[in-house]
Amino acid sequence: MDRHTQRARRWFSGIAVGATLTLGDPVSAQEMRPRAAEPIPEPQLSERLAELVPTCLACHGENGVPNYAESPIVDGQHEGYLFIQLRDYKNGARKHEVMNEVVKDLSRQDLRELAAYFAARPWPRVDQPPVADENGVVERLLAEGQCRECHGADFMGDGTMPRLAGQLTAYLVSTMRAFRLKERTNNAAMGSLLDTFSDEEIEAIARYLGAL
Amino acid sequence: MLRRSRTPLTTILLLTVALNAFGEPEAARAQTIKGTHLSADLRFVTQRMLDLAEGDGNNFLHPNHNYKQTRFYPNAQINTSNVRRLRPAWLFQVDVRESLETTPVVVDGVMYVTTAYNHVYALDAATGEQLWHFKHRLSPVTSYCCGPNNRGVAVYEDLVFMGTLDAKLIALDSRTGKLVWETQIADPELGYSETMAPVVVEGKVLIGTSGGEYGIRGFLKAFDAKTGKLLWTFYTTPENSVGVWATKDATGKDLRRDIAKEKETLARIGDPYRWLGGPVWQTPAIDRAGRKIFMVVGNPAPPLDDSQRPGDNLYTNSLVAVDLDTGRYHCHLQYVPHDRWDMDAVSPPVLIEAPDENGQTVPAVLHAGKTGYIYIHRREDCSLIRFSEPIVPQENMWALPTPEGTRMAPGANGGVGWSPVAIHPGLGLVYALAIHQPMTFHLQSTPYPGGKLWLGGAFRVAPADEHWGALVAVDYRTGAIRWEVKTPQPLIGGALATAGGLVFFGEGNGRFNAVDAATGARLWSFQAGAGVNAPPVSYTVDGKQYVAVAAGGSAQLDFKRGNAIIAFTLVE
Ligand code: HEC
Ligand code: HEC
Repeated sequence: MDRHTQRARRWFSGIAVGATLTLGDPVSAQEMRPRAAEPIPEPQLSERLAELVPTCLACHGENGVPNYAESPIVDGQHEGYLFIQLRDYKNGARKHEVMNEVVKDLSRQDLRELAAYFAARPWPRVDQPPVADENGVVERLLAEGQCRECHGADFMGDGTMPRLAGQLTAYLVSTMRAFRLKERTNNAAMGSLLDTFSDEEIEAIARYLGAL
Repeated sequence: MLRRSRTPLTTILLLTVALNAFGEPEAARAQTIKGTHLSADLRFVTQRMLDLAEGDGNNFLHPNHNYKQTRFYPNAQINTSNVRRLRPAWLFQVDVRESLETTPVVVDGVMYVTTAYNHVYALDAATGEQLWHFKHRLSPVTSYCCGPNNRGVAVYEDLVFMGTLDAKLIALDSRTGKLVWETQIADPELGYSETMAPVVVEGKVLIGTSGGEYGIRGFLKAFDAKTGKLLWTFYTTPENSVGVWATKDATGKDLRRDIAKEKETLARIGDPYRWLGGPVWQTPAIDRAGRKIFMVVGNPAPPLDDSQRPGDNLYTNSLVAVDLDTGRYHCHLQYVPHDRWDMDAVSPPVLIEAPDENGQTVPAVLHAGKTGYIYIHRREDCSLIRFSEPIVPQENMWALPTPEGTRMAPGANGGVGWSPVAIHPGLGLVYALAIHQPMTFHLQSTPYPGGKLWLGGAFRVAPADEHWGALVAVDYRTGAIRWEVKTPQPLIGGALATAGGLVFFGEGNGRFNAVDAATGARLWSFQAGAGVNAPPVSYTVDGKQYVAVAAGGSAQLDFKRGNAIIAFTLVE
């Protein structure tokens, strides 16, 4: 267990549920690795951010590659989207025991600054295995769901629309499942849309998006 | 050659110096490079110029050419007999490669275009050279469902106006592209955004709002063009939005409403007007003589689920006229009361003269619906004179959305989507870009989500091989289809008709076409290399007529993205 993992475990030791279950398995070295171990150019940290950010990095990754397969990449994600998610974790619209706890005592200004901070960091490159879309099956699903209408031609998102391209596949599967099961309710429209897809289809879509 | 500039060279030099002093190197450079069309006099857009736009064969001053929004360009230099010789004069590449829905506006040889994410460019309309470039700094929180679109600017005096995705209205100096003022129209965190081109009349900038998928309360607002100060607001969902419990749509089709249940809901939760949607996301028409504004109002929120919005949901899916001076209600006609299929009224309304039921020519207003009908109203009281034959297949209308999904055509994109139509007054024809794209409508009730996407279910699109499009010419004096040109993909963008007997329109596969306005015969086509999904325009500089259009594709229909503005003219 590295330093950050320890910190993460310590951090939510107050939350009774087993950490591995909640967070997903620690990411295996084969599944993904940063392409270059270059240090990330640090945006200027205010005193307040310097206090908050290390906690986040413990799970979301010092170099932007999350330490757990089910914690998403937040580095380089859109500022508006990050802010709205943090806001939703805080007001309870998005439920996740770890993240709800993390933002519980943070102010709106803190959330804004955190969103701006993580958005300014570069999106990490994780090598998830490329996917051959045999017979264009996934492409057809994406067209029927009009996914590009909102998430962009290349799934790069913008504003409050999340980037999906290159997001961790395991996280994409878990969050799409959560939308369907109505465990993630902060965007009911996504939940209703994903209800019209099967589990297998969702997995195929996640693998496809993760490999972009 | 005719030189239209009245600005003496010294003035231009002075301008350059002044601009440099303000540290605007880009604008300054642009000013020195050229000067031919930079007449300070003619670039100043007066109310008189805006009023006379219908007969103006040089400029293209309004997004839909004139206040009536006929998109009929009165110059015939490019015509049916020579259109084969139409070739690109120039091609300008904007910095953003995302869907282009912009209408170029042209004033005295200067073209203003906008892009996705709210950039504005001023170009030399004869050469395509960039004069200036303005990039709006979007705030992080924006809410828009269907692409980061913008449909263009409005111009007045020496100002250029644009609405932004973060729900602001901004005014730029038309000579320099410098920001003059900006004003927050509404809160983007609550789902408001701006995509439409505003319109200016008598010193007021009129603009509505997008957000029908977010539970907004729609409006049309008037701002002072000089200062950006709010003058009045017309809310499209009145505090009594219940209406007359209409059981049929405007054409008499049964809406399958459960009125008893709605009444019970009304008694329990009250009038739903606060979150009822009703966006105004295309440019209204202005009746200068009658002193009215004619707008069309979009869908109720949430579009698929009616369980929390009892009543007719006034004035969603309606044509609405308000007073030009005060914004006060004058009349309305609702096309689809208590909608559950996202049947916004959105294609810009057009003021025409048309025969009524007795053959008497009356001031009329026309709207092409997502429903697949073209509706003709009396301007006087909004009442319906006639509606056309359906211009696309209508299958299973109005079958209610279900959890499993109900298939219906037209789908939520139309019929006719946001595409402006064009009119040929001589032929009595309206040209509409039609979509055949069946959808399944899935119902799932969820509570108001505080500014997040709110659909009340989901739309799924039928496989692409079932879609097609058509340019349809309808005789608005009778409602009969005169001819149609089928296309392999749904059409979105807009039409332009000209006195040269031509109709121009683009396709998602990159083709930009001219057809014979009387017969629909294809006369000319150009492959732009990316979806041509924006309204074409025409203008004349130094005696030479041009046709211009944006080729940037469409986020809404996922047509190939690009970043080109292309102007065409005749080769000898
Ligand atoms: C103990 C581990 C942990 C810590 C510490 C943590 N996160 Fe998270 N974070 C997660 C997990 C797991 C998820 C996915 C939760 C879910 O599925 O809703 C998540 C989700 C998010 C998301 C949503 C991203 C998306 O794509 O929807 C954001 C934003 C975020 N975290 C930011 C932060 C910030 C900022 C901090 C520090 C203040 C932080 N997190 C601290 C584990 C953590
Ligand atoms: C009408 C717009 C729209 C459409 C269509 C749409 N999405 Fe989304 N999607 C969103 C928005 C907005 C969010 C952000 C959720 C929020 O606001 O909390 C989102 C979130 C997501 C997320 C979560 C990302 C994260 O980091 O947590 C995934 C995964 C996703 N969408 C996949 C899809 C797929 C796959 C499709 C097509 C089947 C699709 N979306 C179609 C608007 C849309």
